[in-house]
Parts: sequence; structure tokens; C-alpha cells
Amino acid sequence: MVPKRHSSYLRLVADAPVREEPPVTAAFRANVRLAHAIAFRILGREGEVEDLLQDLFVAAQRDLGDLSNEFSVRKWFTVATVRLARRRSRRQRLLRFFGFDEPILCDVPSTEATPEQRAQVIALNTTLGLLSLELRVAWTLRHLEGLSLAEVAAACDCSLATAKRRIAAAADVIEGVWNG
Amino acid sequence: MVDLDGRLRDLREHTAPTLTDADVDRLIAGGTRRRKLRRARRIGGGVVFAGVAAALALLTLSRLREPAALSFADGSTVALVDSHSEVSVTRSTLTSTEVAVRHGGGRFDVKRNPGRLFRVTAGPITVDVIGTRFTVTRDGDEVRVGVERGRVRVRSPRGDVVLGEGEASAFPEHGSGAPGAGKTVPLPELDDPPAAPEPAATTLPAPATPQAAPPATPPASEPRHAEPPSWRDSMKRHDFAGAYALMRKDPSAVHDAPDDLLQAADVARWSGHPAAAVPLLERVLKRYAADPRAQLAAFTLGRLYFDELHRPREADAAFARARALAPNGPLAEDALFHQIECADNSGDVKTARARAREYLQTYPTGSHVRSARRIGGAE
Repeated sequence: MVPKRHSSYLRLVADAPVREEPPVTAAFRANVRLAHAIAFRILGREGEVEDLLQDLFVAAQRDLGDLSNEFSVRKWFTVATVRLARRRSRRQRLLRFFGFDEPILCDVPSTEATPEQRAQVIALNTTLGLLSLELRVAWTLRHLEGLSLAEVAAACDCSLATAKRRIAAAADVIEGVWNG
Repeated sequence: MVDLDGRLRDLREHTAPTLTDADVDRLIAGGTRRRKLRRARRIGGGVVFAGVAAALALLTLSRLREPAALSFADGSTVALVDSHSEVSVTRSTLTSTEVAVRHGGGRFDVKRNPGRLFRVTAGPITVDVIGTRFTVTRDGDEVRVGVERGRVRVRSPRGDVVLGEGEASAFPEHGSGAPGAGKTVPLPELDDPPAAPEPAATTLPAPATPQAAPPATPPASEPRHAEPPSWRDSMKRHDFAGAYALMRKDPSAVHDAPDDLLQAADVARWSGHPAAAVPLLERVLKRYAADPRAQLAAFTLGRLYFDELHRPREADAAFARARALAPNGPLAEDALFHQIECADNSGDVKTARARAREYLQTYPTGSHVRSARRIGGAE
């Protein structure tokens, strides 16, 4: 039986095993896969992503306020993940500039991908690596995570119009590369 | 042309690895460890900082021969009254600072911080500070405490007394006497009726009982006949211990009217009986809720609970009442800010942050904006 005090999370964790844990931890468990995917697509390296997700857990314990609305909780995790990932990405770029870091976005994480799909993922990642961080984040959230434009704007901390502009600009570059 | 959307549909699931339940458990365990580690570091850092500050304070004071000023991280300062004075920090933690006056004296300017007790000891005399400017000096067998601003609670072997703004008292280090303060006299710079010269104020031991303390010369307008002293007269002379004793002796002398109840509550607080002020203020709120002074009563009750009785939950309720009684009244802004402090002090970070946001939204140019931003996480 799921405790009633966790009722706001029943929908979020409906298909997960029932656990006795604090609400914030339950919220993290329900949203960590989304956060993981966003962080991986921005940072491109599993080790870095795991570190970020532990930071996200600490931030959630500290800052996650209203737990009554699953959409606001999801939004909080999306925005917080993007912020943490952007901060790390800037640091990666700075380290790379001074020669202390390796290029990213070349991993093909899925072991189930066919050789052709692996080649396409590498091509996509390479293309995304050509984009600025802002364009890459906006396009990734929209086209790979399937977030709404409003969610993308909130996560990128920009207006709806700016979010649209970034997504369109990124799409132009990607289509240009893919179309040869 | 390449169908970008179609290709993405096929690729999407391959562009990021999927987490298993075991992965999630591992992340939560790692996050929990990290959280504990950070908390421990923060506390450890604070303790180390406090220790270093205390060591520096001792070093500084012991080396300086000229009258010196010591600054604490929160902005509180101690200035030695002369070159022979010796003051040392005997304890400095996250929640308290204790300073001992060894010889001579110090002038203390303490920033208000409800979460951190500032205590000054001089022999057997202990002064607990809420946020004020005052002087403590040791002179022979006597410890003198004078308050320039705010209030302090002085604990002596003969009992506790609260000294208010403009009051000074001498407390014998040895000898007998009744419970209560030494002899309390107003400081000269106050606009009170002039008191007769009282050399005994600083040289004689305390009177036998607080109410037996010889009152300062009454104002010229006050008739000099043998009427029994009233608690209001004692209050006007800043003899709060005496006023409180008279109130206790004859409770009917406090009329059931907002002004009298509020004044009586002040006497109870300033004479070192904060708990006795609670029913008086509650009575104002219960019987005179429509009176314009009810907000003041609720606000005072909040301060009393928070500053002196250290009961932040009750304080929070009182401040909420103050706001409800007059949402646009002069005390509403301060009441909301104190509610932020109450939540912060209770460890209820989420409520503190929510209220800080409410404060910033309601009073964007308010006098506590900076603190609200800090608590609300905007700084």
C-alpha cells in the first residue's frame, strides 16, 4: 500500500515499485530519467552526467518547493538540469580551450543500435557539436526530448520567441549538414 | 532532401543511454552521501571559521596596548574603554559568542542575530545580548552595565534584570542583597526628568529590595505627598523591577484597557519577566481586536516569543495575526519579514523561501529586501 502522503506522486511513479521514501526522493526517482537524457545530450559523457545528477539530487533536497503539481515538479527538474548542464558545458569548453579536456558528443550510448544507426548518431552528435550551446540545448530539448516550446523557453531561461528562433537556427544548420 | 523528423524518430532512443532501476538507486545513494558531505563541510567550515576568529580576537586583544576595537564577522564590535582593559573571547561557535571582561571594561556594539547568542561575562555577572550597544566595566568589587541602545539581560547572583535603553546599573561582585538588579539609574543623556546627583549609584551595593530603591527625584510637576507609589510612576522612572513588583502586589492597578495592558506588558518584559507579558498582550488581542493598537499588541507578542522566549512557532502565529489585523498597516512589512526569520530559525527552509518571495513581491523596495533576497536564494 502506498502511503497517502505520497499521493501526489502516485501518478509519477505509478509503474515503479512501491517504496517508502521521502517525497523529494520519490520526485527525483520519477524525473531522473528525463534529467539524465537532457544532461547526456548536452554534456555527452556518462561520468560527467552522473556527477551532475548527484548535484541535482542535492539541489532538489534543498530547493524543490511545491510538490503538489507533477507538471511543476517536472518543470523544476528540467530547468535545474539544463542550468547545471550549461554550467558544466561552459567549464568543459574553457578546459578544452586550454587543452585540458577532450572533445565530446562522440559517444554512441545505445548498444542496441544498428551499425547504420550508430553512424547516424555519430553524425548527429558531430553536427550538434558545431552549434553554440544555446542553439544545441534549445534544439535538443525540442526535437530529442519532445518538450513543448513553452517548456523549452522556461528551461533555456528565454522568451518563447527566442526559443523558437534558436530552434529554427539550429534546425537550419543540421538540415544543411545532413542534406550535404 | 532528408526527412529530418523521420530520421530523428529512429535515432532518438539511441542518442542517450537508458537508466536502470539499479542506476537510479546508485544515483540516489550517491546524492545522499554528497548532501551529507556538503552539510558536514559547511558546519565544519563554520566551526573552523569561528575558531580562527576567536583565536585572532584573543591574539589581537592581548597584543594591543592602546584602547582597541575588536570586530566580529557579523559586524559586532568591542572597544576597550582604556589601555588597561582586558577582554577576551572565551567561546565562539555557530550559535553563541562569549566574551569575558577580565579587567577594565568594553563598549559592545552587537548586531542583532536571533540565531546567535552574544554573552558578556564579568566575574559572576552575565549579560545576555539581543542586539544593542552597551558598556560593561569592572571597577573594584563592582560591575557596571550601561545600555545606550536596545536591551540586555543581566544575570547576577542576586537574580536577573533587564536593562533598557538609557539605563545603567552597578552590580556588586560580592556581598549580600535582594534578588534583582543593582541600582538602576537613567543615563544622563536621556530626556527624562533630571535625577538628583547619586554618587551612591555606582559605589553602594544594591538596595535590600528592588522596590525599596530610592527613586530619582520626581519631576517638579509631580505632587510630593504621601500617596502610595504606582507602577506607572516607577515605569516613568525606568524602575521596571519596582513597577513589576507593584503590579504583582496589586494586579487590579492594571486597568483593563489597551493602553494599560500594553504598558503593563512592557513593564513585565523590561523587568525580566517576558512570560508574564504574554497574557497581557493576549488580552488586548482578545478583547480589543478592533482597536488600532491590536496590531501593535500582536507584533509585540511576536517579538516577545521570538526574541525572549525563543518560541518561533508561536512568534510566527503572532506576526501572522499582526499582518491579518492590518494588512496595509505600518507593521505589516516588518511582521512578514519576522515571519521569514521565524521559518528560517525553525529550520523550515521552504516556508522561509516562499515568504521571502512573497516579501520581495509585496515590498520590492522594502527595508529588508537584501535579507529577503539572501534567504529567498536570489543572492
